[in-house]
Amino acid sequence: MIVKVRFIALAADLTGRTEYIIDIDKPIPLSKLVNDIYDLFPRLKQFSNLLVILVNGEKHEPTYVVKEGDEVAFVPPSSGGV
Amino acid sequence: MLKAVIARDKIDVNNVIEEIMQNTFMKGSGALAVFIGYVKGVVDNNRVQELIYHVYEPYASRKLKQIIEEEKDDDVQSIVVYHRVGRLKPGEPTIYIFVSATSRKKAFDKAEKILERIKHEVPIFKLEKRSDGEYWVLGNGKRIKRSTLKPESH
Repeated sequence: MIVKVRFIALAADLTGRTEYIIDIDKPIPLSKLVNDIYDLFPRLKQFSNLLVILVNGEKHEPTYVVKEGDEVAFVPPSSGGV
Repeated sequence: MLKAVIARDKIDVNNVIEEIMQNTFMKGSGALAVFIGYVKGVVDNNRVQELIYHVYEPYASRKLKQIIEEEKDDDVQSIVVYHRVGRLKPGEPTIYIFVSATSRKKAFDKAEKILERIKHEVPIFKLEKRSDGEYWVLGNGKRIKRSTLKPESH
């Protein structure tokens, strides 16, 4: 099952890439996927208190089950407007 | 009249105002609040060269539309929002919010609430390029210098 992980703005600077494709054999909790990503990108993990995790553009509980086709994004706090 | 657009270009404010007034005066509106945010030229005594708005689409457009849908009510006849993204220079407009309502208080309050929600909920991120370096601007006005965010090697 393919899950696309996106690194947006500051998160892209921390990983040096804008996306990462993960192939998982079965649906897994969001918390597990996030920890796997943090293991792969330790620099990102250092900013985990700051970062927001979105699934298909929305916040979800850590227990959310990630499924085929989901897009998980690591984003900084929004700073639109002025 | 509800409209939420993520745009690259400036808009003609007068056209929008005219359209809103003509569309809403027969629906009870008599107050139009207009808020325009624009790029600062100086931050912490440093000259700003450019503000780059990064946007996470399609979710930013979706969230912007959701916010104005949720904020419409019986006393508000029109909400129009344009949020610009891309590279903007000091003095250029970044966001336009137009709210027409039955009273001035309602129009002002609603415009302010919509602005606050956009700032906190829409995935748009600012990179400030200024004379002392590049900074990511976080939601609370805090800044992180970009040169301190070195990626690990892979």
